[in-house]
Amino acid sequence: MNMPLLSPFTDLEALSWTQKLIGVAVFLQTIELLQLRSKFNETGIWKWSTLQREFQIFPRPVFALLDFLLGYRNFIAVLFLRLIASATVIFFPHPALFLFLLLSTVLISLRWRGTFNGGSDFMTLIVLMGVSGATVFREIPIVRLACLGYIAIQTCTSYFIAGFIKMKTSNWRRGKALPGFLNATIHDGNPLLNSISRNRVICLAASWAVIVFECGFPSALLNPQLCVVLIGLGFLFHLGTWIIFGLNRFLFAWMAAYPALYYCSQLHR
Amino acid sequence: MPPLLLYFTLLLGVPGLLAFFKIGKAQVPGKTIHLLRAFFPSWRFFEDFGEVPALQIRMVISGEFGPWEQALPKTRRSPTTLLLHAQGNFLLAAGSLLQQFLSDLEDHQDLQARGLANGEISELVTYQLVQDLALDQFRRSHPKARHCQFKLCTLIQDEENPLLSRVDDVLLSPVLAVNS
Repeated sequence: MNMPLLSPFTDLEALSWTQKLIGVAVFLQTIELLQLRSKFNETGIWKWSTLQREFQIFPRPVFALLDFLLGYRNFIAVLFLRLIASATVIFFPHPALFLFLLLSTVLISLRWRGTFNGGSDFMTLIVLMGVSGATVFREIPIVRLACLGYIAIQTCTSYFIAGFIKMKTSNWRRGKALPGFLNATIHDGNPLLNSISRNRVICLAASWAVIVFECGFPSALLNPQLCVVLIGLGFLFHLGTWIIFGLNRFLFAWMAAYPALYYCSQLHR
Repeated sequence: MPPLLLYFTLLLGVPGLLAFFKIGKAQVPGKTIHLLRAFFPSWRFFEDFGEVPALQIRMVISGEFGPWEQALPKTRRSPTTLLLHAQGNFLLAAGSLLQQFLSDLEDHQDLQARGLANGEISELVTYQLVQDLALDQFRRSHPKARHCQFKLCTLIQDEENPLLSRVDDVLLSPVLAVNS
């Protein structure tokens, strides 16, 4: 299938691309979690024996089910099944597999007391909710539209709120927040980034570029050409946040949302 | 522009209606919301620098204390981390845990001041997770050592020079035995 960047894009094509891209994102996320298994086994950090008492707030049957699924051994089994399901949906997008991916994503978020990786978990869950609904009710056009629309609206909201909050923050407006974040990443110091963070003019310009880009992102819904440009900028933006902050999961989670956004951008034609 | 108009109507209208009818005031236990927060996306990324928590560890040999070291050493950039970045995502999850611990400590101190605190700080789930994080990192950097101590501190960005930050100690653990 060709990705028709500037040609009409049907809802079924958008759904198909979303299914494949979220499959890739979830597959990579699951491998990472399996690589980190020593961190959540019973001699690691996020031990179920430590966490389980927080879950006693749930009704007893729910707690019993979570206790069964989130203990180390069964959780590893859930992760392996998720790995297989995510690889399978790239080629065979069966509704049951998407429902399982949705459920396992909720379980992973619970296992990490809300989320493992914040924003990328939110977006993964949103795309999986949309794509599961659209796949289960594939024969009903209005449901497909609603599900793709939900993903598109949440994508625009994610950028708009992030930008709006920055615009309200004086340190961002004055270009002073960015150097602080650049110096507190998970990565070793980089001479280029160090020199950028010391240059006030570049920091001010970069801060406003981010604010304008994020606040202006909802205009992607205005027309498909503008949407393609903003998706391109979004891709570069997430590539940058991976290079600087190590946020690789964000790139794949947001990429999975872009086909739905592009489809919605051409709706008012 | 109907789609954009619809978008902003939903974005601004729904929270406005909720606030108007005070639907948001329904009593939902805070811990439940916390555990289910993946369903309530917060898009407030990189809001403000503020306080950044850091975890430090040190070796203890026969009552003598070694120098403090960063418990979460920085990782190297590599092109392969675009696809898989387990160590980076572990460091991000650990950073998020430290933020939650700092927030729990503030809540605990607030409750203590009002005489409502229930139990010791060491009974907090986040305290136990941070202690296990410190022990896990210590075992990796000092495989033969038997005792250690950790502290939580905060880096507070200087208002005038964002490249400078002040370090404040928040919590010092007792000396802990390290099981191999």
